[in-house]
Amino acid sequence: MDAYLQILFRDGILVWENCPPFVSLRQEGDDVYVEVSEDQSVVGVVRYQTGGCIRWHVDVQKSARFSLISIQQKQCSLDDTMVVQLQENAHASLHWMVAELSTFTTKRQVDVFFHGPHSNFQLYGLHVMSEQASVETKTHLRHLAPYTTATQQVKSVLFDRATSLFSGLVHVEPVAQKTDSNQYNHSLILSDQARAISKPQLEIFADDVKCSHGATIGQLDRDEWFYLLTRGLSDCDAKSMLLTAYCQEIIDTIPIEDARDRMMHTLLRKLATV
Amino acid sequence: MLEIKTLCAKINETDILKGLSLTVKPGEIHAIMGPNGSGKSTLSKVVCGHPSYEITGGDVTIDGESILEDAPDVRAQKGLFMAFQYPVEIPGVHNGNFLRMIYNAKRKATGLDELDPLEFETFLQEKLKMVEMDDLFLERAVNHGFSGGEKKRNEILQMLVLEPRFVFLDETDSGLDIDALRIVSKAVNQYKNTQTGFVVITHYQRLLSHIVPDVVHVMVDGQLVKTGDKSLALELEEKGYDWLLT
Amino acid sequence: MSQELLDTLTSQDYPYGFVTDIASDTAPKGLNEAIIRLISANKKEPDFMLAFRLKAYKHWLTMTEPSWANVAYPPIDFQAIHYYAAPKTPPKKLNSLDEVDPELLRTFAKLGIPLTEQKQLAGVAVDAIFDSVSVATTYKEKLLQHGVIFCPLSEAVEKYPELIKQYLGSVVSYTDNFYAALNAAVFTEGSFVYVPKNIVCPMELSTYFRINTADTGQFERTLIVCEEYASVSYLEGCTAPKFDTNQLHAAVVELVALDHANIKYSTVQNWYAGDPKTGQGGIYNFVTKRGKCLGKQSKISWTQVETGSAITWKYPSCVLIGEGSVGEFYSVALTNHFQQADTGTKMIHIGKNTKSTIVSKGISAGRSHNTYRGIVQMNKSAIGAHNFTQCDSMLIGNRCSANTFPTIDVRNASSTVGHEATTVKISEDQLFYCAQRGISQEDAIAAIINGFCKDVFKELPTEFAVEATQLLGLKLENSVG
Repeated sequence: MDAYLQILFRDGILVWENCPPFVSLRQEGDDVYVEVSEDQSVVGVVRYQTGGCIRWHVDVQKSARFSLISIQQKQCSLDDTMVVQLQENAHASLHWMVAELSTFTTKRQVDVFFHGPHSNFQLYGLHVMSEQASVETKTHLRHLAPYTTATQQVKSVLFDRATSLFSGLVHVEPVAQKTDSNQYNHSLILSDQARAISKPQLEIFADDVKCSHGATIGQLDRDEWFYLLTRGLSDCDAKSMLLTAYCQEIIDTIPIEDARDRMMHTLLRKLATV
Repeated sequence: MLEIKTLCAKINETDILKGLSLTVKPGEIHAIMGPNGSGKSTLSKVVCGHPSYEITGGDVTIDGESILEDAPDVRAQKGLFMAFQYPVEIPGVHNGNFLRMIYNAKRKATGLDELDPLEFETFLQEKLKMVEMDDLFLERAVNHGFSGGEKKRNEILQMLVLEPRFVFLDETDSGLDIDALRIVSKAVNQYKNTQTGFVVITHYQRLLSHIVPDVVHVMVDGQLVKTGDKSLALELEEKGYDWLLT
Repeated sequence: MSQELLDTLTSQDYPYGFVTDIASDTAPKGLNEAIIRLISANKKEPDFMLAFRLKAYKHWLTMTEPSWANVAYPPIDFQAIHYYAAPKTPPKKLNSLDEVDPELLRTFAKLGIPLTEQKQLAGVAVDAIFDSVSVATTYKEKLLQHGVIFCPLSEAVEKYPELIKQYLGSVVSYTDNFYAALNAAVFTEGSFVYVPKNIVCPMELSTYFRINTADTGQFERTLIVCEEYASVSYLEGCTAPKFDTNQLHAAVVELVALDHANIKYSTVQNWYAGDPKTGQGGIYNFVTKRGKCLGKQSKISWTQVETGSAITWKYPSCVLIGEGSVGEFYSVALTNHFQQADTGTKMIHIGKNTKSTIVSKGISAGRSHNTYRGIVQMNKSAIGAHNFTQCDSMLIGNRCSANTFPTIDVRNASSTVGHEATTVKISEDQLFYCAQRGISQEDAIAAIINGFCKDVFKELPTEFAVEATQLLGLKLENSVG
């Protein structure tokens, strides 16, 4: 059973509750250091009440597991960086959804180092943006050991003049044979003034690996939309249903039910306003 | 005659075959059964020359001559054929072209002229019927997107095209439904002849009701521990393998 | 894969490494205004051409060499290159092949490009270019009867100045990049193709470039224009001798397609790639190729098989302006030994309902580095535009690298882009499977790699698809274990 760690971020300061003894957590200015001890498992939920900048330094020891869910409670600009070090058999995941922005910018940079074999990293991000909001996600995965695995899925829904940029680099060293690393970036552009840029990149130096990336940018599927209309749904309801289904895939990955419900609620509220 | 003489082999420092001996004469059908981990699949791969395995003792001869120094394709030209348990996919390589390629490679090795596509087409149609496959099969890439049953039928089709002397059927029945099993067995029985020896490797007795063996061996921990006639298979079906492991 | 199998011979020597013993007129090394005037004078160019060159040269002097590509090479000394070399005999203009130095004819025959009337490649017109001059253009008269102009660029400058003034530099301006500026200043020869309205060019057109003189740069320039409803299929081939030093090949290719026109441009590139054991020598292939789909429903397809050069740096691109126009890019880039390639494409969608397809297959072996770099851009005006991209990489051995750097930028709500990239390996299981079926290792590798490249090879003109298949097999012989 995972331990559940709650963190609140307000005015540049992190405060936390329920920090289990096997997690070392401390803040020094903008830097936050997290270390999860061997064989232990924790899920953290960080709620941002104000904007700001945090530099996360996460160390996941052998066979430990660390999941972080990031929730923005108020409209704000964020500039987060996260550096994750994974030892043998360690697992880390990062989940976030951004759906409250109007003119704000969210920047997220994630660097992951796979030091030990059989380590795994997963990243799931969802952006539903309108007005002049912009989001920038940059990831850099460095596979330095064999049998390491990773999955990245980032989806954006863009209204009005919103923009999204995804830049993901997967680097595989010669020693990292049997790496299996996949990244997917999908964007729905629902306004002619919106813009999506996708740069999925691979640097591969080992010959026995499975690395793939996929990127799509487009609109809601016309056939699916038409099908719903023929079943009596209004245009508005049909679009809402399809958008919800599109976003659901990311929300479903969140390991805490309470957080999942909260995000779903936020999403539906947002979709009702655009 | 195919002779396997006290063969020992290992992979990654783990010994798998530990002094296995078996003689297969033309026209004979041998069945090898055994529990998981006994080394059954390893036997076929080692005899056919898979590079991951290292021979640490013993010999394998065809008509008295050792083949252990021969590369896998040379062993194939000498008449060895293996129907893989998990046939590999080769995307982008046209199945029909692949069949013609392997057939012509064999003709070339025996000093014959290659067949042109039209001549080969006639030859192939007859074989396709035996595995109940149609021309559409030939248009697809080798095993790519094939169902389990289709892959196994494709293996048997290749066997029919190459007309080998010694055939290893490596758990050909695994993953097969009743229809696929029927088709595969029928084709093997049609091909069966006094010049070809078969080694049928299987976990279950089911296949051996269709392809009836002359001899049944039980393989445990890298060696053949018991040999009998086809009734041994039924005995194993009833009792399992435990009584042989002590 | 066992190391010894990986290491065994590529004793397949580069078969085109010979040098032709022929007297050449060579300009002194170095680049300055005097050399440019010399080139222009040797070609007897009109004033507007000299002005074009000088303008480009002055601009080049203000530029710095770009360094963002994923390739490494020692600095090029632009003053240590001959910018002009031509066989002393025959004279520049040839009326018949009888006047061509037999040594030159023998050279091209050895390369598989027979030029003598009896043995000309049937159905393919060839413009043979040796160092800085065109030696012969086959079927020129016959094509003219159909209205198709196919001749060396220097001849076009003289005979069709209005067309040259209209189109040269209209797709790749001298300001575009460092090497385009250099080329505009010192380009020596290339092909000019003009297909008038409603004409489908009756044969494949081909230019064959042969560098012979040491320390020369090859700066050819090709211009192809197809008017409304016209179409042409063009093939570019190239080889060079084995020299210890590197040689620069900085070409520019411009394609213009008007309404409903169709241009297919295929390249099978086999420049000398450098010594396989040391990496020394080899051609630097820095090329700017661009097609402008000016007209409605026009189409430009680039198909390339890049197997040679020490360094390949090129992005054949399409600018899709005309409504409903289509751009295609099919590429196999093979690098082995010490080769480096940074290649890909740019598809810039400007017009409505434009469409582009990109299929790129990269194969790296030895100690080589292979990079795909691409841009797919949907401008605001590109309503309903669509792109699909498939990039696959195959690595052979553990000392090489494969990189993929695509950029997708969409600026409207009605375009769709789909992009997929995967890595593929020739597995030991696949090789064993083929071997167990009696296929030799070389044949198995050839079959698997051809399967991998199938989607690209099928876009090549039939005559050259076979050659490309064989070339790939030769280049990779015994690299897989």
